[in-house]
Amino acid sequence: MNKGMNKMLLEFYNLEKRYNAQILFTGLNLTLEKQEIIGVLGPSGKGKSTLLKIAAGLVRPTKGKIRVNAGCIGYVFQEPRLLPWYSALDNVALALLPTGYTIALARQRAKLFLDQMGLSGFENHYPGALSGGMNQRVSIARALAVSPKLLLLDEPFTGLDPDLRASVRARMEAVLVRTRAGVIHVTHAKEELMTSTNRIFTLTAQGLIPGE
Amino acid sequence: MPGRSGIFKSHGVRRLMFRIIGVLLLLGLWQWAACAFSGLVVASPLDTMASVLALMSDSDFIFKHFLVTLGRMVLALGIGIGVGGILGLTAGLVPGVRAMVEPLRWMLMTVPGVVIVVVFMLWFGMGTAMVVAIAASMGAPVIFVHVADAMALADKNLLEMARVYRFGFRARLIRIYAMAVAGPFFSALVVVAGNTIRVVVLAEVLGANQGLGHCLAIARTRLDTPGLYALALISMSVVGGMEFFLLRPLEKRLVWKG
Repeated sequence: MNKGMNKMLLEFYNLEKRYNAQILFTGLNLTLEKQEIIGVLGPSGKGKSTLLKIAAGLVRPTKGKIRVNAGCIGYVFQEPRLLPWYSALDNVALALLPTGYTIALARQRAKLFLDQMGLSGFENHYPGALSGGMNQRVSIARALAVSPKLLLLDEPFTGLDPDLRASVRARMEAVLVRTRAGVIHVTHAKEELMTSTNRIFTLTAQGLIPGE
Repeated sequence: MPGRSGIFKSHGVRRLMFRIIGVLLLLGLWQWAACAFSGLVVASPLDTMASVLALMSDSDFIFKHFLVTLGRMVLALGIGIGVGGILGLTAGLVPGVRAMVEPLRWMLMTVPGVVIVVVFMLWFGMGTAMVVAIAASMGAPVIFVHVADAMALADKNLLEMARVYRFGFRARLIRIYAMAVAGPFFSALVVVAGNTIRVVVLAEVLGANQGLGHCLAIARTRLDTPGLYALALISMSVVGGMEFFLLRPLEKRLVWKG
């Protein structure tokens, strides 16, 4: 039993979320284990982003229980959410400071992850000087650099052109093998899911239904 | 065809030219008024400048009056920024604090200045404490409103990101809120600096025996119109100097323009 608990990263039990009178979803159950990649499909506006925000502790559910057993969380939002007054390098490095890195080491590590996202030479560019796709890659680098135990991906490949999408996804998967993070990946397009996705659900008002 | 920097340069030169023309027009209008009216009513620009030079070369005036007013202004501005800024930051973070401070803010911003002067004269007596208290209590509400509003407008998406990546309170304050507040804060500061010198001089006229305001009161009773105009020009120069040589360069350095 202890072994099972140790493996468990996140558990949603009978979750419900309402906005005023409108029920977004109810009776939602989910467990995520280490190294597991879960894909959640569903059309826009059905609560996929809200589900991730609940997992990250940004939004409270109306009902139900949540158990999160992940120290560090990485989160790729739909939009890059970079600090416009800091360079790409510092946007990644700043996320590392609360985890105990010194600024010099944080910058070293940030550079490594920016390189992995194909952003060598753009470290000192500000978000305003980068394209939307490049900013999104900075955001992905930031989420991976913190060595997350739990990685939340909200349509992470939005804004990337198809060729780049495949290569970024491949690089991400390579990093995930090393970090052994558990992943919840929400998207409206099944083809965007990672090749190593273990389980796929569809989000409906009645909760998560296995399959597409 | 001029290059990009050439275009900017010519824009800058043109703006400077218009500014110089504006000042010359003002001087022309002033000279015309001085010729049209008695010297007792309007002092000429030349007489005023002579009076400015005489005052600024008088060490007694510099130490007993000019520096005293400058000190009071800096002190009032410091207290106004400190109190208004801290309350604004707190109100931006805790809406309850804003609701609590709002009645006082409303009272200070709507009560006629002369009422505050009279009441503070009763509370603090004549002199520096009264002058500084008046000017600070007029400036603090303006800083408070600008800072509190800017805090409320800080990007919620960035704040969410900061929560996910566990930015501490200090990091959020410096890396997100400060950047959101900097622009409105400097706009408020320019307004407050101008108002502070006005209020300091006004309070000195009514209740101090040192400072530019006190000199103004003396010049008025002596019918020394060039002296009166010179003191006004010196007060304006203090604010102008502060705005163009301190506040604007600081704003340029600290405010993110995108």
